Order: sequence, then structure tokens, then C-alpha cells
Amino acid sequence: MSQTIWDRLENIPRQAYYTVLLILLCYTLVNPLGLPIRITGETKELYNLIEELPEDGVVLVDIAFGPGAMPELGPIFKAVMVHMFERPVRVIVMTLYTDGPQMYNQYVTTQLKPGTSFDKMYGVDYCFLGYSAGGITTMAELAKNMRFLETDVEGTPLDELKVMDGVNDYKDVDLVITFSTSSGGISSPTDWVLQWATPYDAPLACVVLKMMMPTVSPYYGSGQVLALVPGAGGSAEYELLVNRPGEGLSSTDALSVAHLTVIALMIFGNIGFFMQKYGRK
Amino acid sequence: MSTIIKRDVPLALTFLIGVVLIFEWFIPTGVGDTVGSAIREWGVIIGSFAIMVGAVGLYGRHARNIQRKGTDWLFSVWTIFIVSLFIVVGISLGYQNINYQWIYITIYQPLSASMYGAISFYIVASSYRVLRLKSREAAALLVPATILLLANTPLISSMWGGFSASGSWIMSVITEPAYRGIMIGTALGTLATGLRTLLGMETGWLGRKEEGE
Amino acid sequence: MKHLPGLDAIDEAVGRAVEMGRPIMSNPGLGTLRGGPVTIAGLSVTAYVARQAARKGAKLIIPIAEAELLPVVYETVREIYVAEGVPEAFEPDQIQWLSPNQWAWTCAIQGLAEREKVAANVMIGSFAAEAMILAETFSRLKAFQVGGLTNTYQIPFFIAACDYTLIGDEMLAAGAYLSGDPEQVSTIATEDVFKILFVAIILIGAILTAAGSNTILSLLGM
Repeated sequence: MSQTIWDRLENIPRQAYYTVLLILLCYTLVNPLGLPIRITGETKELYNLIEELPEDGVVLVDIAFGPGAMPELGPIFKAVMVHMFERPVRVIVMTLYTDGPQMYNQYVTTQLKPGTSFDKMYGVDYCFLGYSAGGITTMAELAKNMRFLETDVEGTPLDELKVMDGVNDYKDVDLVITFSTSSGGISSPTDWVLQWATPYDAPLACVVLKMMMPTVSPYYGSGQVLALVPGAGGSAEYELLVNRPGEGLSSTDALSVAHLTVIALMIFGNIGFFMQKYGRK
Repeated sequence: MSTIIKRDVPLALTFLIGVVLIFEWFIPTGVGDTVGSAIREWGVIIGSFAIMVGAVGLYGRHARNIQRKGTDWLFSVWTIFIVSLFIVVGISLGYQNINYQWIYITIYQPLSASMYGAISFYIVASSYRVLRLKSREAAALLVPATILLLANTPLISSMWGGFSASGSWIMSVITEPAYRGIMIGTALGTLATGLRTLLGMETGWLGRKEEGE
Repeated sequence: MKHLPGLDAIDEAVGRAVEMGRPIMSNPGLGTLRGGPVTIAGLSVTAYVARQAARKGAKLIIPIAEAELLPVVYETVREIYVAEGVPEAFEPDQIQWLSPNQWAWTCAIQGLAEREKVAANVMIGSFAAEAMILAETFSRLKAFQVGGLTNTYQIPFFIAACDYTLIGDEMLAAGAYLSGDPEQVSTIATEDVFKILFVAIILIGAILTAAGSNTILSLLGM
């Protein structure tokens, strides 16, 4: 029996729409269309939290993502680090992820180069504590003793780093920002809520994958998380806020195109379904 | 081996170690902290040895496949080559070494990012197949999904703020409470399963009790 | 206990694999034993699937991500085959340690599924972003799927692609449900009592807070 057009609409072969999606995504990534975007309140909240940090404030940054999430969290990580390097605050970077050091090397050491681009000195304005295998235990210990890890990634005792002056426990940290892909595994936002925000009321901001937003939003709704920003979309908005267009902005067009493709497919599929249903009647 | 060794000893160890770690968590003492840290270190060491066991098994399986010229044996050759490369370079030069970084950045990173990106294609296929207005339940899925899709499309949400507002409403009024309920249920379930495991009631992972079950 | 169609469907999954002469895959997920109850629940289900496969003569494949699970699963499954009287049916290669890396493990499972033409897939355990890829891959192979996970943001993907899905604490009750052991089932009943208590606290708290009283919030220390 030959297929009607409604059959075809309802059963578009996956090879066809995969190809269309691939072409559209490649085109928009290579030639950004410059489609308009709107800065959302969520992204502005994180921006304001960092803007309102006191001079010489201390920010603890947790890298909890790896290469898989680089396209989504990498651009906003860079933009947030740029914002902090442009402000007179101290930044302490840590990671409980095995891929964390690679992310730090790639984004901070190689791309941002704080020493030359922002006149920030390692050990004085920022430092990297390196990878720790302890997971949630390390997180809990750090809240009680910020020198728990004893040395930075290069083996320099934390007592010798000027950036750690006066930073002894959670009270001395003005903001914790976690960039996380984990919902229940290592270094998830839930762990930070459990170990820092709930027992000590520590100020916590989370930047997560878009698909993780529903999981973390209950904590945002209850005030345990002060700012909750999705990587997808949030990257572009933050780049606009710090006036540093980058991969986030260029991938926003691809995001719009992908979503519009899904909506179009849904419409075709439903048209095909209804025309078949009413056609049979 | 008797059931004492196969089942009772592991269950007894599980109970003892679990009790020690719970005690350490809720009643912090110097001795408790030391014992707890030691136990956690043992866990890391056992995990590392287990990786060796796994690696030997992996090599063995692929070597047998190459020897038999079994299914896709060339991929087995490639697997052994790549695993060996990472091990040799990592151990001899260290993970901070520029050469290790190079093979990590050129091989592992793009593959990992590509797999993550491939999720989008699978989501498109799934959405196309599932989001049909076949019934009331399907409508309950389709309508909010469409609104949220529109709200999360930067182009569309920049044209009219109502999409974002509707999307936020759906997330905060419908999705968040549902997720809260699931999370509360999961937390209770985790507690109950943990308790069953500690008390030796949950033995499925040991292959169950002898007959009578 | 109320019926959990997802767990009842495991027998159907094994039966389907036997009828089609193709393997069944039982996947306990990415978690470690240190990850706790979710992995334990996944292992309980894997042990149950192994028992059914041994009884009915289905070929079973178990992909392992974390190496520390390998000796546990190996010994458990081997003992099950011996207990069921079919030790010769147990093949060491049916339990495969693939990779602790999420994406390498996912790719390996996709390859296994395609090559072995898996007829049924039981994936109950700890899953993260790869859940969508795995579920869609088996869906494309027209495999019968039972999924279960506690990662809330992956639940929609399993619901979209699997024939049966266990959500949250349904999955954690798997061990008790499959054993039917009264002691274990009683812990599920206790859970339910606490759930009712929490619902009552939530309702009373919502009413009191709407009326302007913060009693419940103060009591809970928030």
C-alpha cells in the first residue's frame, strides 16, 4: 500500500531529520545569524551577586564538569571567571572531578591568562587547589577548614599563599559558585546545599546544565541556592553582560535553530497523526 | 565455600563498617575521624585494585577476540592500542606532561564532547516520536512541553516575554513540586535501602539467601 | 505491596529474549558500591535477572562501568547459575567491564547492543546524561525496555523511550519487592508511614504559613 503524505509526515525517517538538523547546526555554528537574545533574571542574579562582592571578597569556585559538558558550561565558566578577574576579589578554584584540572588548564591558564590579561598574580589574587579524591567528604571538611587540602596544585603550602590570608572556614568565603553537571554524583549542587548552604547558610550559586534546572530549582525556590543559571542560554547572556562575546553567543543561534526544528517536527507529526485519524473516519 | 564465608562474612563486614561510619558522621570524635578516614582510604585503594582486575579482564577479552579473529577484531586491536598508549604515557610521563595533555585533548576530549552533543539528536528523535496528541495524558505532556520549548528558544523568548513567564510558571508551579515529591520519596527510599543493606536484609547484591526465599 | 509493573515486566523481558533467541542485557548503571543504595538496588535487580535468565535459558549480558562491581557481579551471577543447576551456561565474558568513563561506557554498550541484537534491556541503577542515548538506542533496536533511576532530570527520557519505568523510590524498593521477604517489605511499609507524616507536615506547614505563622519553619530549623 502506497504511503500518503500524512503517513510520511507521521513517519519521517530519522536519517532525514538528523541530516536537516546537522546541516542547520553546522551552518549556524560556523555563520552565527546574530539572532536576538534577552538577558534573563536568573543570569542577572548571578551577575549581581558577583558585582556586589566586597573589595577583597573571597569566592570559592568549584569545577565539576568535564569535556562532555565543555560546550555548555565552558563559555559561562570563562565569562564568570572574566567577571571575577575584573573585580578586586580573590578567587580560590577547586575541583573534585578527575577532569577538573584539565578544564582549569584549558580555560584559565591557557585561554584567560589572568597574569597578562587581567594583571592578576597567582597565589595573591587567585589559586587552584587541584583535584581532590575525597568527594563530599572533602567538601564537608573544607567548610570547617579551608586549609584542609594543605597545598595547592603545585605543592605550595596554602599558608604561604597570600590569597589564603584570613581564609580559614566557610565564614571567610563570600560566595561559592559551582559549575556542575552532576545531579547526584560527585560534587553535585545537592552536595553543596547539604554541606555548605544548609548547615552554615553559606551563599551558594549554581551554574548547571539546562536539563538539571528542575532538579536544583527546589533549592533555589527555598533560598538555599541564591542564583541558578543554566549553561545553555546563560553562557550567551553572561558574555553580553561582561561584554566578551564568545562561544556562548555563537552557539545561541544553534540553540534556537535546534529548538525550532523540534517544534516543526512536532507540528508535522501531529498534523500527520490527525489527518490520518480523521481521514480514516 | 560455605554460606558463612560467601554471605555472612560480607554482611557482617558491611554492618560493622556502616555502623562505624555512621557513628563518625553523627558523633565526631578524634578516634572516629581517624578510623573513618582510614576506612575511606581503604575504599579508594580497593577501588584502584579493582581497576587493575577490570583492565586485565578487558585485555583478556579483546586478546581472545583478536586470537579468534572474532567479531570486529580490528576494533579490539585498536582498543588495546589506545588503552596501552594512555597507560604507558600517563605512568611514564605523568598526567601533567604536555604529551599526555596532547593525547587527552586531541583524542579523549573531542570524543567525549561529541557523545554529549549526540544527545541532542536522540532527544529530537524521542520528542518527534512521543509528543503526539493521542489522548488527554499525551496532551498533558505535549502542551507544557511546547510552551517550555518556546520559552527556552532564545529567538522566540526575545520576541515575547510571555513565553518566558509561562515557562517559569510551569517550572515553578508544576515541575518543581513534582520533583520535590520525587526527591522526598527517593530520600526515604535511600534511607530504607541503606538500612536494609546495613542490617543484612538486602542481599540481592550477594545473590540472595539460600532457598526459602 | 502494590504491584510495580516495571518489576513484574522483568519476567516478560527475559521470556521475550528466550523466544527471540537473542540476549537480554541487564545494566546496573554507572554507580559504585560507595554510591550506596542506588547501586545496591541495581545489583539486586541484576541478580534477579540473572536468576530468571539461568532458569529460562536466556543469554545474559551485563555491562559494568565501575571495576569494583566486577568481582561482586561475577561471583553473584556465577553462584546463581550454579544454584540453578546450569553452571555450564555461565560464561565469564557475559560480564564485561567496559570503562568507568561515562561516554566510553555508553559507546561500548551501544556497540554491544547493535552487534548482539539485544532483545530486551533492563537498566535499573545509577544513570546520568547517557540515559537518553542508551534508551533511544535500544528503542531503535525495538528491544523491550525496563528502566529505573533516581536521577530526576533523566526520568522524562526513560519514560519517553522505555516500555516500563521505575521512578525514584520505586526503584529503591526493587530488592524488597523482588524477594517478597516480609522483613524487607516491612521497611517499605515504614517508608510509607514516614511519607504520610511528611505530607501531613507539609500541608499543616502550608496552611500555617499562609495564615502568617512560621511555627513549622522554626521547628524544622530553616
